[in-house]
Formats: sequence, C-alpha cells, structure tokens
Amino acid sequence: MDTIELLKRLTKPRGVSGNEKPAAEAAAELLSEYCGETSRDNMGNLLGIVRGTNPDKRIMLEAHLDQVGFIVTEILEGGFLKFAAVGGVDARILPGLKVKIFGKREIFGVVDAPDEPPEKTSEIKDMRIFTGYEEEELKKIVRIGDHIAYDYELTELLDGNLCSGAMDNRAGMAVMLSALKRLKGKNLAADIYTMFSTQEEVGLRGSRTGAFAVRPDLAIVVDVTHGTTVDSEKDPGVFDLGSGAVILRGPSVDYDKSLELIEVAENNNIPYKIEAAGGASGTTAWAIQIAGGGVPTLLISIPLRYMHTNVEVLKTADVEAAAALTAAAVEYFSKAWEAK
Amino acid sequence: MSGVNFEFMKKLSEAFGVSGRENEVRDLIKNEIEPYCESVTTDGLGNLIAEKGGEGERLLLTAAMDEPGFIITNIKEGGGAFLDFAAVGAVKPHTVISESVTVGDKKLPGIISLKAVHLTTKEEREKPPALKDLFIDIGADSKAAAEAAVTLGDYAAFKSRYVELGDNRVSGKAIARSACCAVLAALIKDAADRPLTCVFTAQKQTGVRGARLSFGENFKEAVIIDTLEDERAKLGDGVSVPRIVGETCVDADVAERLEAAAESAGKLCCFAKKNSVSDIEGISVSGGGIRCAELDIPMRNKNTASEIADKRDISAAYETLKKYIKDA
Repeated sequence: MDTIELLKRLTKPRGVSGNEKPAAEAAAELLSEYCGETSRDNMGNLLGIVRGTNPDKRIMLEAHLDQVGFIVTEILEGGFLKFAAVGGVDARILPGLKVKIFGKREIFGVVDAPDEPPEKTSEIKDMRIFTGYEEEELKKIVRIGDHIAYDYELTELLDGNLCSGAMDNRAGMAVMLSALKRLKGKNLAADIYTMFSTQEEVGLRGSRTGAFAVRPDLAIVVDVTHGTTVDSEKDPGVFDLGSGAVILRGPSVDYDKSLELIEVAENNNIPYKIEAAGGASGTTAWAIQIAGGGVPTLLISIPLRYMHTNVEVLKTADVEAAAALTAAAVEYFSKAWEAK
Repeated sequence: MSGVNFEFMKKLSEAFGVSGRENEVRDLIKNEIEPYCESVTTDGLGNLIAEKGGEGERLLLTAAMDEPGFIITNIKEGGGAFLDFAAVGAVKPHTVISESVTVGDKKLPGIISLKAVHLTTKEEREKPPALKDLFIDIGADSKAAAEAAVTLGDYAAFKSRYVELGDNRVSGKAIARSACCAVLAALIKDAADRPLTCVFTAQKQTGVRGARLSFGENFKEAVIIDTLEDERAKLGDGVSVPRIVGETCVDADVAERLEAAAESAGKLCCFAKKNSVSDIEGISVSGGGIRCAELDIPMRNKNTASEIADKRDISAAYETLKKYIKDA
C-alpha cells in the first residue's frame, strides 16, 4: 500500500476526540498486519506489540488517533442544531461549511451563513447547523452529545501535496505503520509498542495513561507541525512542505537522544529540519515525557498547512521521510539493547 | 415522465458555470432540451435561446445559468506558490474560507485558505478576513509549477459535494441556478403547446448582463425564474411572486396570474419585496419593454459552496409555471 492509499484509509473514518472508534477500527486492521492482535485500553488507546529479543526493553511509537470536531448541544425547531467545538477550531471557516453529524445514522448538515459579513467573527455558540429535517424527525436521529465532523475526502494537489481533513494526526499514524513495514523481519532487541492514543486534541489525555501502562524505555512521537503559507512565511516555527522530517529540540524531548536522532537522519541521508520549542511542544510528547517515572521522548513532526481545518495540506514525501527516520531511529536505539 | 429532473439538476450543480465561463452548463442544458425545441442557439454573449412553436401569443421564460466564483489574479511565492483571486459575482467572503475549488478548464483541485488559526493573533481571528487576505492553494511548490498549471485569468468554481439534507432538501454548489435551469428545462419538455422562447442567461452574477440582450419582439409577457433568500422563508412552503425585485416593479397583472397559478397548486409563500437583483432588471426594459413578473424559489446559504433548496419548492415552481403557461 503506498502512502496516499494508506492516508486515504486512515483519514476516511472519523474519530472526533472522545469518539475515536471508527478511526480506531480502521487503524486496528492496518496495525494488525504487523502486530497480530491489537487491543484498546480504558481510554480507548489502540495498542499493538511487535516482540523483540530483549524482553526488558520497550520502544513506544505513539501518534494520536483523534481529530478536532464538534458536539451537538441543542436540537432546535426547524431542523437546526446548536453545537460546540471539540478541540481547537477556527470559527472563521465555519459559516457555510458542510459537516457530517454522527447520530443514530450519519446525516449531513450545513452551518448557517449570514447574508452579510459580520463585523466581528461569530462565536461558535451563536452558530447553527441546518440539517434539512423537521425537529421531530431530527430528534429520532440525533441526540444531544452526538459528534459532528468535517465533510472531506482526500484530494491530490500538485507536486505530491495532499489535502484532507484529519491529516492531524492520521499522517502520524501513517508514519508509524510505514515504519513498522520498514522494520518487518528485522528481529530487533526492543519490543515495539505502537500506540494510537485518544483525546490529544482536548488535553493530551489518552497518551498520558497509555504511556503509564506501557512504561517505555523510549518513546518516539510523530505529530504534525505548521507548514509554511505565504501569509505565515515570517512566523517562527513554520516549515515548508518538503522539509522532510522535523526533529524537535527543547525541554519537551530528551536532550541527548534528540541530538542522536539528528545524527541518525544525517547518517541515513533522510531530509530533516530542526524545530526548537522553549516549552510545551503542543503534542503528546509533553504528556508522555512525564508519565509514570518519566519517559525519554523524541518528537518527529510533519509540516502541515491549515491545521485543524477540513482542508489540511501536507506533502507525501515528508510523511515518507518521517517514516524512514522513525524506522532508522528504532533500529539505532534498539541496537544498544542487544544481548551482549 | 414529467416534472423536474433532479438527476439533471444534480449534474448542473456539479458542472462548472462561473459567469463568463458557462460553456459546460450551457452544453448540458442544450443536450437536455434540444429534442423538444424547434431551435436552440447561443448568442454573442453566451445566452442559450430555445424556441418552441405552438398556438397563441409568444411567452418569454428565463433562468440564469451562471454561478458566483473566482478569477485568478496573481501568483505569489512564500513557502510554496499561492494564487490570489478576485470574486466573480456575488461571492460572500465570510463563507469561502476552507472551501474547495476547481481552477481553470483543467479543473485543478485547490482550496481557499489562510494561515492556521494557531498562528493568528486575537485581533486577526476576530475580524472576518477579506478576499484579499485569502489565497487558493493548488499545492504548487514553486511559482514555475503554478505557472505551468494556471494562467492568470483562469476561473475557479466551488467544488462541493451534492448531498440530500433530510427527505426534501438538497445542498451543493450552484443549487440556485441549477434549480431554476432544471425547472425551465422541464417546462420545455412538458409545457402546453404554445409559442415559447426560453432563455438560459449568461452573466447574471456580474450585473445582469446576459438578460440585457434582445431575444426578439412581440412577446406577450415574460416570467423570470429566480431564487430568494429570506430568513422568514421556510423551505418547503412554496414559491414566492415578488412585486418589487431590487429596483424593478414587476407587472401586476402578470404577477397576479402567476400568483393564482401558485395558489392553485397550494404552493404560494409571499415576500412582496426581494432585495437582490435578478434578470428581470434587464428583461423588463429590453427592446420596447416587456411585461414581466418573477417566480422565486426560496433558498438558504445562497451564493455559498453549499446552497440549500427544497425539492418541493422546485417542483412547485414547475407546477406553477406549467399552469401559468396553459392559462396565459
């Protein structure tokens, strides 16, 4: 399966934070190819294990499974729904946007678009979704608390760039699956625990308990970082699509190991850029690092434009670079744990 | 089978029809109606004119076939190449962010966007962006790659999935013009045997330009099929016969008969004044002047990527006009 096909399969099912099941099921099918059985824990984290030769050492490959979306808060007369955001959403994109509502069955809705541009961006609490159903019929399908996700499908743009919702962070999951494929049959020392964690978008929640349970000796996290656009060119911490794997340095990751990761990229001719963060990386690396007795953690990122929208854009080659680097890093760090 | 062909309406909705580049929509309509017409011609601006013979005085019926969209004005570089664009027609800037588009005759996929919310200041987030703050991303890594794919002046249209909303409503791009054209096409097939000139107009969006051309002389009267957006209108309650459209006063006699036809179908909802303009502005004063009225299908989210209409209202427009033509 090539990267595009893999991303198609991962992005298609929705998995808004707290309701990741459809996304988890699709991912479990792909993960089981490398891990045999997969499992889900109390928080819904999806876990698959590839056993190594040294039962004392564990590397955890972690990417979050959930995506931003919305939740139904009220069912109104005339087939309208009030809603709230799940995760960080840009209210400016919403007027006129088509969405999918996950009630007893899946239905479409469209966010009301005022005729005139408002002077100030409308707040989500003041917006409504029109479903086309009468109130009575709607109440048979939708309940308060049902999830709402963007409507999108993966589209190929020019120059190997792809557009889809939920690239954040199905792209990270694609990296892990691709890395496992690269590592297949390598007979490494460390056990590889692959974890696709839940509820990252609402406060790095799944990874925190997941990492506690796995107690890894090393965690490699893959997530997205901001991709450059013409209006963010001068902003710090944005990376052109095509930068390759972005390696984080800073307190969110292990100081020495992140330098070693840069060396691994150099030695394997994997394109990379370095990102520096003075504190929280805004990723699960921040939570995993302080799980249990503490976990040496690394973060590899993929540049992504328009994060948290229905039209996130990334470059296939960057996903592949991150996968190559993840696989090379697993091999490199596992080597130290081979039986003498 | 008679009545509005909703499959055809869907096809129209999915076709590219931005003002000034209506050829795809025009061809679809031409294929649909040609077997039922004595002649189908395209005039100098791109209006599609269908003539039907029969007994009695000739009626003029019109529906606009263009939709709002965009035109590429510049290619700029910065972490890739991005397209500046301007509006073609009644685009609502506050509804276009994060919508998908197709660019040019090659229908290159792209999206309208701006930098991620995480990178904005509170001030930037609170002010709805203007079109000049947005750009189209076609995924070009360099200006050269963008230039190879796009020529300045290429048009872009919304790309939006046509979906059913509930049992009767539909949503997609260009639903307004697609509904009006589908009604007119159905009338050409089914209406009573009398002389009809049916015009599918070009460039309504850019200032009622197609409808200012002459479509002949000696029409008894004309009806313009259009849409309206009014917060008070409930989709499914029927069609409206306005008395004032923009600054045009409709012909009271034609309007009354049109109203009577809608009423007999039990499908009249009344909004006396419609604020937006329509082809009536041109048709009513074309040549020596034509007595005109308008029939409006209520809409939601008009001129956005996901316009919404009710199939019952679209059918009501068809039924109303069928009766009106028979009695006129």
